[in-house]
Amino acid sequence: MIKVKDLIYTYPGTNKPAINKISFTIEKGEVFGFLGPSGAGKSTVQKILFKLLSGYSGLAEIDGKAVKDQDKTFYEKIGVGFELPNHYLKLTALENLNFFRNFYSSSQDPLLMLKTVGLEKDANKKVSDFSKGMKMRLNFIRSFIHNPDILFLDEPTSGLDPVNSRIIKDIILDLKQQGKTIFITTHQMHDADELCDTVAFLVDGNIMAMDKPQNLKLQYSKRTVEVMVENELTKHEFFLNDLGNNQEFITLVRNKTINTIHSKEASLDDIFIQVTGKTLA
Amino acid sequence: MKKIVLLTVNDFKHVFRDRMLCVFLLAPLLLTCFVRFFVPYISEVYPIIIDYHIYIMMFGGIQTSIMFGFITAFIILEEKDENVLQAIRVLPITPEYFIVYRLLFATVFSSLSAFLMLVFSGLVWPGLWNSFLLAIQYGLAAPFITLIIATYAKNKVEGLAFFKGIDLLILMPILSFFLPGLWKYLFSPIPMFWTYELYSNAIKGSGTIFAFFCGTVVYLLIFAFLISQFKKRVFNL
Repeated sequence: MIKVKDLIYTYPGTNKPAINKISFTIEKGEVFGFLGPSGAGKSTVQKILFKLLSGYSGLAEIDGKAVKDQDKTFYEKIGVGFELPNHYLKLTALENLNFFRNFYSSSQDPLLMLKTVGLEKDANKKVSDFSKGMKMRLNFIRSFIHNPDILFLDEPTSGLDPVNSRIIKDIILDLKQQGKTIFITTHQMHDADELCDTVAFLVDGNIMAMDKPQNLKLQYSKRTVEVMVENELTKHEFFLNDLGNNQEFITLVRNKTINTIHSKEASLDDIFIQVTGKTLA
Repeated sequence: MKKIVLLTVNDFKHVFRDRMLCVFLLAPLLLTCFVRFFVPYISEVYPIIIDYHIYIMMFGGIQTSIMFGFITAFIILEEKDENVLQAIRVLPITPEYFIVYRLLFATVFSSLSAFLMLVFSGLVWPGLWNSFLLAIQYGLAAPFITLIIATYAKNKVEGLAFFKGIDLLILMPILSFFLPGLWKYLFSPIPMFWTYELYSNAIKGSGTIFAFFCGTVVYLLIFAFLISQFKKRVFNL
């Protein structure tokens, strides 16, 4: 559905490419996540795909048609949630949604959408009186008010408290259930782990690794289990392979009181640092 | 058509919710009242002013027209500040549609206010046909000012400074009436020169089509350049 091959983009006035020959494919109904620190090129790729940036080289294709050849009806089938809120501040939340939705051939009930993100009571409040989190939630629902097949979400949970972040993630999972194709950028590894079918680590415009989160974890995890027992400060570590026949492990669990027992599965954060040598700050 | 109505309603909501823009919206009405009531009064007290009525009308007409240009420019600057233009770029309308709408919005309302000023001021009546021609020329001053401010000003503060500068520039061609011989054509690259020329010819009973034609050509050349700049600088196209 979305195909990118050997994509290179250099911002005007710079010499270093912001995107350096990257390739990936996103299948229909897939949630694909770009993970990387600020300035890695995540938003740049999205902007190329929804035609805000031109002058790239390589292939960028959606539904079998080059992005640069897509006409204005293209925006009927894609939805864009920007990283920063962009609303008419002097209009109310409802007026904003009504304004934007009326440009599409079909759209959803804006009041119902506001309700899904807990903004129904603020429908008639001017957006200038909204907090950043409220503006982000409004951004989010506006991106799919016209029921698009493909969604581009740039840092969808940025600036949200845990409760609202949870609401947004549940809606994304629901959209996935409806068969939408979703392309997310984030530097929240936990969100990516929870939401994405495939993740790609992007650093300095290069894809350093790309796979299903589960596969990455298996590939980069230490296949061990760590046990802590009562009245001991030292940790006991055992290989997972043939753990059932490991006499030392069996003796420990039979004879001691176990305080904690953890498999040493790597988190996406750990894997990112391991693969790229960088943190996600 | 539905989209144009939507955009127009949205723009007026903006104007009515912004005190400064409301004042600019009222300015054409205040200017018309000034010309209609104050100028005749002061002319009775100081009759010498009567000789300058046409210049007062040239000034009044252009000031009336540029208000909608300024209002439109400020709406775009706000859309730039709040990144709303990004959101508009991903709507199923072309950037050209949006630009043309905004320029038409400015032109239509500005032409209308200039026409009403010419009709209701009762000061120097150029005739109905010439009033139509003048209203069109005055109206084109609005997209001129909109494009300059929206393209080159980075924010609203800069926008105000640009407005003052452009206001001075567009009044300068009035000086051409005080220059001897062909020197007046020094101002001919400024499109308003032809508007004032049209007005002057209309009052003298000379032909007005030539000035109208030249004014329109100069405006179109400037618009072609400014629109390409706007697309490049504002829409990154």
